[in-house]
Amino acid sequence: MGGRASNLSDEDIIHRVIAGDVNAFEFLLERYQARVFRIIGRRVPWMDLEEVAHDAFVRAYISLSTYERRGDFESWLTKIAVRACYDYWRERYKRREQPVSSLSEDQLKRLARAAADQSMRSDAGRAASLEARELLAWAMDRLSPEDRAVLELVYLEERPVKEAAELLGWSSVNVKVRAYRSRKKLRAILESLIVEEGGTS
Amino acid sequence: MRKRARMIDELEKRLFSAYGAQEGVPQGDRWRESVMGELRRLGPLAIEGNGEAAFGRLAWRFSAAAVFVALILLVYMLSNGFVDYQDLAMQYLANPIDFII
Repeated sequence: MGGRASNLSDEDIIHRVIAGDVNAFEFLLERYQARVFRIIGRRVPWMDLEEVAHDAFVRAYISLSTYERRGDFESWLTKIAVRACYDYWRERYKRREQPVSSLSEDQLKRLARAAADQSMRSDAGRAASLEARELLAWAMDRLSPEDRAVLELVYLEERPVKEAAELLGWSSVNVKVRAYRSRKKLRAILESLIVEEGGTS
Repeated sequence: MRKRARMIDELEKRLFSAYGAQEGVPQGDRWRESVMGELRRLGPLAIEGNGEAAFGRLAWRFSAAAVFVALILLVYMLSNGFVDYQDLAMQYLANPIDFII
């Protein structure tokens, strides 16, 4: 399928799908699945990644007639993927599911103190990166879905406010205010990890 | 206090950089087949591709405005009487100098 797909533009494929050729959508799936998996893989736990990616592509298919060549298809699909993640966290938040981290609070505190110590520079390897991600997932899990979404776009991915606003469907002012507040909340969560029980760090 | 803020800055920096260093995600044919399976179950979109249906939707979008304009014209014609403008135009073109309404 890959060979034939490379000869067709996105517009051609979309035209075929809209005209009723469901199978043509597989060209788009093949072309963009890596990108969509990358976007979603950063935002949702590993175990739910395939399900959210599946949902994003089904949404894209259903709303393909609303695409109408506004901007490029990749941006349009990115928007759908980001919103699918946002909806995933909203659903999860509503159900009050357990935090994503498998580590205990004590372990997390130890990790946080080690990572916060500027003198400890030797832990730059893969294991340290995994631990940092675990820690980040734990901290992000304590934020609301809105805070999480805006923090990821503005601070973690360093996207411009305007782009983040477009992806989330919010106003730029709303994104700016929420981004600032959510970062403050994240810092408070991190502070609670590195501060000892007695109140000293 | 300043030391604590520095520690939080450092921790935040490390966490943020770990986010960017995520590894690639493998995707399989099985997953793609499951998506395509669902799309086939949903069936073809066949909305925009059907020209007749697209024209129908467009016509309905302007139907209210069309009815409004028709009503205004009807009221205007009823209040001003029916005049055969085509005949008047033909008379004018045949003899523009002697043309009087």
